[in-house]
Amino acid sequence: MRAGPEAIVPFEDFVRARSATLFRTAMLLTGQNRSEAEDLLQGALERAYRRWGRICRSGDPERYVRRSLANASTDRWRRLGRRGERSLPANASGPVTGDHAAEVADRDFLLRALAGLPPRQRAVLVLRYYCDLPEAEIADALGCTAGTVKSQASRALARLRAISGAEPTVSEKEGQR
Amino acid sequence: MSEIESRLRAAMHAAVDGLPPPTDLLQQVRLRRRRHHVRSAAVAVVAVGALAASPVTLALHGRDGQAGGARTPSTPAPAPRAAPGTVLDACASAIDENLGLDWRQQSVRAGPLWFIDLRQQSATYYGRSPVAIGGLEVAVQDRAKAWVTAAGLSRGYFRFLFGPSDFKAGVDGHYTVADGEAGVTFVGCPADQAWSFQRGYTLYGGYYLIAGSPRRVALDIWTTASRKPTRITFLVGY
Repeated sequence: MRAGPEAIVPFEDFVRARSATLFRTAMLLTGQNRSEAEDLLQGALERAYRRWGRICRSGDPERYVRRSLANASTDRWRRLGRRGERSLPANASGPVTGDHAAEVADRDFLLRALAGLPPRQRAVLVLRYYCDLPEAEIADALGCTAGTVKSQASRALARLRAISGAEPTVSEKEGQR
Repeated sequence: MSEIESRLRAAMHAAVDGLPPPTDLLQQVRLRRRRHHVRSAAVAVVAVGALAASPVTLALHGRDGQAGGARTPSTPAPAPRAAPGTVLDACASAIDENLGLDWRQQSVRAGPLWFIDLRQQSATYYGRSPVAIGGLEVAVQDRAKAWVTAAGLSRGYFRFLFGPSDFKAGVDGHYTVADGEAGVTFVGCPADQAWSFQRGYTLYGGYYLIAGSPRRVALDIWTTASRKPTRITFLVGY
């Protein structure tokens, strides 16, 4: 007799269905470093496979893998010797306005600034603004409190804003206090 | 949402939306465990080489790498060995995973070993295997050593895929019970190598094979200090 087959999505089917979304998240978590993103995702999926039955019964295997990705992205930084924050290249210019090319340049600038944030702050922003997760779920994914998520997001946005010259909102000013 | 938040969201989507996943992702996941063990073996070889060379190195350079040092090298700790009839999982193959704050409540303890989530075990039939495969994670107290073996009738239908057998044929492998190991020796990391989300514990991950689930499994846990094993039982495949 096979154990609860109706409750368990085959691992291969899950990977085929969700790997694109997870890979994109991994790309953003690693500052768009493709080889690091592939390594991060492989590790998260291998860990998920080990406890696949239990993860499926929890009802949301993607949530588990995303949590594993986020944790590993910050842990990787810790284990690689606390690599410092990356600064923008010397020739990086602030945003320009006006046309499509300027919009592309602005996005590129923001992404490079995002990649230069400390991994934990970057993870908070990716989970919040790319994965659209609520603060409580981000806190669960990163193993911290919702208050920490809020303050990390606020600091990260303040950093991006300082680089790009945008004005802070009232709530963001409060979050920094 | 503020302007910077909107711009950031748009930038992230523009950067990665439409990116295809790696084409060989499943294959890479299947190979990953085997690569991990190859790396672990390489680390062990390098460590043995380093130990062999250390007296000369230390005499020339001192313990801090400074020239002219004449201190006596400390005796290296003996390499951990597997208990008879078991395979070894030692520090080089430890895994990192944040189990959450309540991991002890979800686990079964036997001496220095904690079997993670053992109360909720299930095994799954993958590929063409006639036996089911389940995942098993074990935390061992740093510096402790304990070994676990299938006990009683369980020895006929339950084996471990840890150590050199870990994930050896991947998810599509055609496993039989005989492919697994009768027991595993777990060794916690020494103090100078210990690092874990679960402070004070070393985490290992592997798999097990079981024929004919659902079945009750009995395991015996031994330590160097115990004359009799601690026996635990759990149900797989309910």
